[in-house]
Amino acid sequence: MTAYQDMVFTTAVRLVADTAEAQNISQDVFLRAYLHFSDLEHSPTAGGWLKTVARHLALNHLSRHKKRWRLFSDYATEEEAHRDIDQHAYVSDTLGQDLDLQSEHGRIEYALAQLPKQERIPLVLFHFEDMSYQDIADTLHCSLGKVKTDIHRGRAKLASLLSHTDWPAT
Amino acid sequence: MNHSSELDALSVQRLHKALRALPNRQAPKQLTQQVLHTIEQQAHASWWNQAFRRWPRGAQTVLISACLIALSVSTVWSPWRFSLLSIRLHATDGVTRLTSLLTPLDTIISWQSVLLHALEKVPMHWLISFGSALGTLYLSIILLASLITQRFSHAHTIGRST
Repeated sequence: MTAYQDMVFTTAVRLVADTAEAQNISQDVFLRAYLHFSDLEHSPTAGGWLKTVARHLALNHLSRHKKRWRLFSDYATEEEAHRDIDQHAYVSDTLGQDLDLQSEHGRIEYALAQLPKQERIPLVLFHFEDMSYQDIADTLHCSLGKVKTDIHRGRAKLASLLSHTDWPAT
Repeated sequence: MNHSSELDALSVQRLHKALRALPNRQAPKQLTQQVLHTIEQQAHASWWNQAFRRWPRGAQTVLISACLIALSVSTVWSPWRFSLLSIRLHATDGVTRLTSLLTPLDTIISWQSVLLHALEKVPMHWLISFGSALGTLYLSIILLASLITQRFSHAHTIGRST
């Protein structure tokens, strides 16, 4: 468990942007792993299995809060998106407590958590989970165009938030 | 540079590299403790307090069989029995008795059509949940009664042997 707990927690926290919820999701992931322990004990794909379960549970958690969840709306206005950032500031403040904001990595994580949900989630799925645009659209039950737009907007906002961060040399 | 404008391919590539270079976040220290505590709690729980898939195979079979029997009885046997009652009450001659034999089938069909019509308005997951809850409750009572009987008979046997 110790070998995978950081990876599982990271997968969850980047999607839900809430440390406490990510901790609960990680706990559920390891309880499920315990139920399948005989299958996973010597499996070389145990890490992948844990990551997939963490991703599914995090997405399930987010879809349960559908009322506050505008990802499925193709008509979210700019105003709503900005309001989402404001609402998200509380979560990000909580999230920032365990981040080293002096470090470059800490600042990127913090900026990522500040993105509105409808942009952060497809962006995380694309850049961290290696999912294609089509897979993301299928997973989030939205159109391919919306996924591309949201990822593009997310990148632009992330770049804006990180404008003072030094980029690693290419 | 206006970052809200179009990002060029190079910027996207650099952003991707920066994101991919992020190390894993450190999980809270209490996560391991919490998981182990929950596993320990679950391990000490009685089998009927655990998830259905962790029940003993025999108990699973009994529960599923009982649910199926209860379902069969409620949908088939009950209307048939009511119809037989009406045959006894009303059938006087042979022809009436013969035609009355078809009554149970009519009853079942009419009952089922009314039932299905009513059920169309109820969400399917409500019905499944209700059926599962009813079946579980029914079987829990039987199992509890059998466990109590077993416990008493065991205590009685020990008492007699000592």
